[in-house]
Amino acid sequence: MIPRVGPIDPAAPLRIEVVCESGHAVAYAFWHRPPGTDEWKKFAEGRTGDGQSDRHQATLETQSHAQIYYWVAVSNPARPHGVYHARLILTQRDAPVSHGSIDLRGTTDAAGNDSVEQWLDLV
Amino acid sequence: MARSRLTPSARVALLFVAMLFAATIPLAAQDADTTQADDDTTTVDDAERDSADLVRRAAASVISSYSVPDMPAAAFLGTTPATIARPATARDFLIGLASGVDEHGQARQGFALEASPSALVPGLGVSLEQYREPGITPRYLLANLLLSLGAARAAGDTAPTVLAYGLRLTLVDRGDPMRDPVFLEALGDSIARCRPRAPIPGIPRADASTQMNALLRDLLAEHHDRAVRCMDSHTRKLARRYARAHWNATSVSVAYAGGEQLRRGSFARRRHAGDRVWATGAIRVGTIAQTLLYADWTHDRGDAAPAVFDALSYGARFNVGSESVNGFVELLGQTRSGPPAGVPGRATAWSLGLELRAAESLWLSAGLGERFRRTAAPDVVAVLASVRWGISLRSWLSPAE
Repeated sequence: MIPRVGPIDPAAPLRIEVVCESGHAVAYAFWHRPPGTDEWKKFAEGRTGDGQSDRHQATLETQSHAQIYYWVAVSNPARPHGVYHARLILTQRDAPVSHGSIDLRGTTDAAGNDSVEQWLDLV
Repeated sequence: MARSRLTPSARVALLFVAMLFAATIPLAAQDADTTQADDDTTTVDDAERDSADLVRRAAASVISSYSVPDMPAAAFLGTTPATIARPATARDFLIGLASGVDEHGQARQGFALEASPSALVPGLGVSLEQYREPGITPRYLLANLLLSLGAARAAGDTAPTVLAYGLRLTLVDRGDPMRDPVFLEALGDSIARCRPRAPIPGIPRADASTQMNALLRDLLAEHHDRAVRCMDSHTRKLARRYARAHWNATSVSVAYAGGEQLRRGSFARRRHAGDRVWATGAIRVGTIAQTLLYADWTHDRGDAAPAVFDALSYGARFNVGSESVNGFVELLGQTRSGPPAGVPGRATAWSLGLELRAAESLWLSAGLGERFRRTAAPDVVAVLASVRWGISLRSWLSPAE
């Protein structure tokens, strides 16, 4: 089942935070698809070491029935087969969006890497 | 790395002098493999030497890498688990524990589980910023604490199952790349290069509730595999380069494992099987050298009183590594209480090796002792004056490899 996040208030920007709580380096990219269209447009990308703190943030003007596609990668070559825990946190007006906290958990491979990609339906 | 200022001929001369000097030292202190027996006559001295060699070889096999075991519970059992459960949540952890017990409430063979409390317990997560705080902080220790569990049974139908538990903790690691901002920037850049160009095709619009079908699942899996392969390729190179550049970094790690013997696999019929403690330390010496220290204490309860023993294996090694000279000197030892008749309670062994780059892709090596014999496998070998001499096209003793 694809996560359905919302209700979304179209009058306020949607903020997405990427937080890693397991000491991994992170890279991410977000795409947005407005309702009734087929085209995805990248609206944010970032990585560890790009000047942001551990809490990477992106902001988007959106509405109900839009979709967000995310790709989040984690890496810790010093700890192969390590357990990771990252989170996507969606907020509007500094308040959490309903069902907008998405846990990304798993175990990295022998080189200490993993990635997750998926989409969210905004309602 | 620093480049030696010795000329190739001076290096060769130095090597000869050092090795000939070492060869004059009585061989009783060394391992047996370079000793040339004069005849087949077995004397009391020979028997004692053989017994001491047993202890020395035991120490050498215990101290194979100067590092605490990755999974202390498996090291206690002396097994290499085929699969290790690594739960990512507290729920997975409980399921993992339950999988170690069969339907009759008995420990399951081959069970192995490794867990990090910081990953399992809500609120104990450690972010990269917290991990990088300078010094030995509680968060750093927590992030480097690993717990392990395992169960195994010795050969034979009546042998009891041994359930082992262990922990591993890194106290200091100045070569930890995840605390180095330069490495982290390069790492972030490396993995970011592997991001997909676009989402997978065919995602249904959000007008209605979208479902994951088999095709979309396959496309996601394909994207995932491609991204991870790309990341593996980039980060492996990065990590290898970093490890080479920091091969002699200071570090301290400790580990503990204990075990319970379960007769017929039953938790109700258990008795303490023993304990084992490991401690290792590495001390950086300048830019091209390192001292390694190792201690491993084993307390084995045995099956009956005569089989109880304590053993302490210890080692110290000095490594040198540069573009043109590599070498080591090592002392290994083992002290054991209640050894079998004829086997000494204490024995030591030393080994040394040196190799010089005589020309591009041409290394001359010489050394003494079991460890040198195991480490270096030159293309041409000769044993002369109890010293193993070798010529090879590659370096065998580089500690950075």
